[in-house]
Amino acid sequence: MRQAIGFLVLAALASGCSENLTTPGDCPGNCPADHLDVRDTVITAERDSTYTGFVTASQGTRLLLSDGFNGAQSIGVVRFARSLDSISYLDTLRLATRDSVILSLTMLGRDSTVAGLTLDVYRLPPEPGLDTSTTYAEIAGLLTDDRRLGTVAIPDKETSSTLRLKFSGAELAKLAFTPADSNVLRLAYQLHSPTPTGIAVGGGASGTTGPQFVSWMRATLPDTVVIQQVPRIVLFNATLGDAADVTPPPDLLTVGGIPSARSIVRFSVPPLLTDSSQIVRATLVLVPSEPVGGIPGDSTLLDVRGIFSDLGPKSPRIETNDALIITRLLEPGSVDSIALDVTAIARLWDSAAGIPPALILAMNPEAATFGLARFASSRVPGFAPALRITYARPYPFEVQ
Amino acid sequence: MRRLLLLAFVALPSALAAQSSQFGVNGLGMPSRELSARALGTGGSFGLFDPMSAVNPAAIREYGRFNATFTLLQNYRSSSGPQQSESGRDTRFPLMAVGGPIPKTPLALGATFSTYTDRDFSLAAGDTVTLRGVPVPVFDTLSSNGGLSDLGLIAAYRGGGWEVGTALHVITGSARLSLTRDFGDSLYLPVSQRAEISYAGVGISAGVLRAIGRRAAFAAFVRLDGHANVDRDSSRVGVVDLPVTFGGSLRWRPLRQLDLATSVTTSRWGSADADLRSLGGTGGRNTVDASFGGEWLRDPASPDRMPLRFGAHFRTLPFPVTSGAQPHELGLSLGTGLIVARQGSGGPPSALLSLTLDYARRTADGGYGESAFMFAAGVTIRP
Repeated sequence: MRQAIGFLVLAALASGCSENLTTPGDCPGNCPADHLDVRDTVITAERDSTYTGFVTASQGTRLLLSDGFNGAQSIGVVRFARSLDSISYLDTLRLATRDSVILSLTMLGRDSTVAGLTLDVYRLPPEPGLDTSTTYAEIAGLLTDDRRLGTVAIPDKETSSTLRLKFSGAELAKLAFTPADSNVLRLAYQLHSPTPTGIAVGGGASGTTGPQFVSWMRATLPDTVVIQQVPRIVLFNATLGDAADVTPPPDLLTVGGIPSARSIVRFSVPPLLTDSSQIVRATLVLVPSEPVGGIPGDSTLLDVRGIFSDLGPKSPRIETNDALIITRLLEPGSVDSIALDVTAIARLWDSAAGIPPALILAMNPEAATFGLARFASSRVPGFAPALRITYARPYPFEVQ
Repeated sequence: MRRLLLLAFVALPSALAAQSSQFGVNGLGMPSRELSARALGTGGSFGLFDPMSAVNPAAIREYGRFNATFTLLQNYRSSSGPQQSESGRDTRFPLMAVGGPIPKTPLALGATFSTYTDRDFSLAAGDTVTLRGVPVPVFDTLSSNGGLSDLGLIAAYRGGGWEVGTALHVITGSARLSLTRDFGDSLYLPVSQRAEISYAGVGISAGVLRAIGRRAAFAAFVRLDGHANVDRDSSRVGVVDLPVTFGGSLRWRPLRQLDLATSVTTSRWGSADADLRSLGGTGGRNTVDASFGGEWLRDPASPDRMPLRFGAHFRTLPFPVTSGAQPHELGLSLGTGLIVARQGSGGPPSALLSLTLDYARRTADGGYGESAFMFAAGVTIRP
């Protein structure tokens, strides 16, 4: 009998090793929500600034080719690595001749409503050299018919495609090198359009979608013929435009352009919200001061991030987590206010962590789209950037 | 088998703590009756005579030798509110008591460590709130782990037919509370807040116990608990008056095998009413705990061998769910005990096991109700 009772006791104890404490909360009375105070407030920006020069024309991941877009012309220039006159075969360098060549570009964005686009590819002389000091004016005069390697018709309606020029046989003479070239190929890409527009093509920094210069080299050996594919990497590329550099308007927040501009928007958020309360939603509201610039089909994202510390243009951006990078697709021509959910960033703004209540606005990608946005700054009454914060006050646990 | 049973109890993890009742959400929580499994088996009616309970300090003079008692309580309950119901279970370790007589003196010393009030609960509720002018569904969970504990240091004296005892009570403890709110709209990130509410207070108690003839006895006690300081994360948020508690009990043995008792206790929790209301709570009410029960001994010569214990109790609870409506509890209990080990063959018991099954029905105005089955097991070791 005692053993039976013992087993019962052990069974009861074993079943008691897990707990389920939850009981239904009924309102009012046993209602958790009774004392949770959730409020809403709007804070306008107090100080903001625009800084330029973050990504230059030669650092963007795309080249922007324009024929009259925004009344401006822009071309792309590229310098490839030195070409070789030999190939490696059976561990031995063999003298080789160029059998054929492909020059290609990858179109990444265009306005598909504009038809009849063509792309001219020019071979540039060794002088002037291509580097960060090269200007549009220096190159534009060199784009003559005798330097044109060919023209590629851009397929209508297609927003992305590979644009190729093939050379073989007698056409290879256009790509022959002279001692002055140092075996370096320099190219310029110019867009022609019946109506003002632009296209974006991959730049060298984009990797596989960048400009391609691929040669097929032939080496004739006593008993065989060897053909090898020899690509050359891009050492330099840039977008060159005839538009004069414009100083950002002081009362506006400018984002985008080449070189790229970023804006920092600063808020004075009371410690009540950041330290003792919990932010459940924060929405940044920006009012465009002019239609958002850009061409349809050229994806332009507004990129909003927090900053680790406010060091002006050198403020390090918080990008440790994808959730802390807020983006919004900008519609070219839009004048609608933009509301971005920045809750994840706002939750970092407690004084103990030292994260300043500020947001940095940038274009994504930078210096690689036609997109340009200008927003009203804190110096424009009634249209200043605003932060709408919904927050929960500290729960009065002692009430329970 | 007996040793296995003892090992099972000793090896029980102390993390097995917690009572949860929707009537322990407000105020300082669900008051514990501070009774041993043996006293619970009689509905609590023998509590004032029971040295293993933490009620009457005079009762420890009843120890014939050194005792150590551990009590485990397993709780299965079904709670219902005005709109919904839920079942739950929990385990607590509500009472430890040690003590014994000082040889060759009329004195006895002891100590108890018991649950004073229990603040383990978890409330879940759904609602809809308006945020930025739009109704948003929300789901809230409020959880608490902890409570107040009562450390009692007891001394008792027997003389002139009276047993008199007094105790110093150190009341301390904390509750770790957390609140989470999830929003139906994912644009709102969840609210998650935590705090630790700690309590500290001191009390004293005194009691007497006296035989009335050969078949009856009388016991009474009074306890003054002063006040408890309430701190939130080390910052003082208030002071709550703790109650004056007093009660009396009568015990009668009409037959050699039958022992009956009744007791009435009242706690003046009304003194905490203003303090609790000033913190934003629903206040406190005076309570009454009345019980009746008995013990049927199969073998009066060996009273610990499979006795039958029975009892009933009624008590009011001090902290209303909603302002104005005082909850109350009605309970029935049944228990027994067995000798697990003896000192040598045929010697006195050295280890006892008390088992109690208690059913309680708690109700309050407003549609709040709760049915609970509580299984209590107490191990007493007499080395």
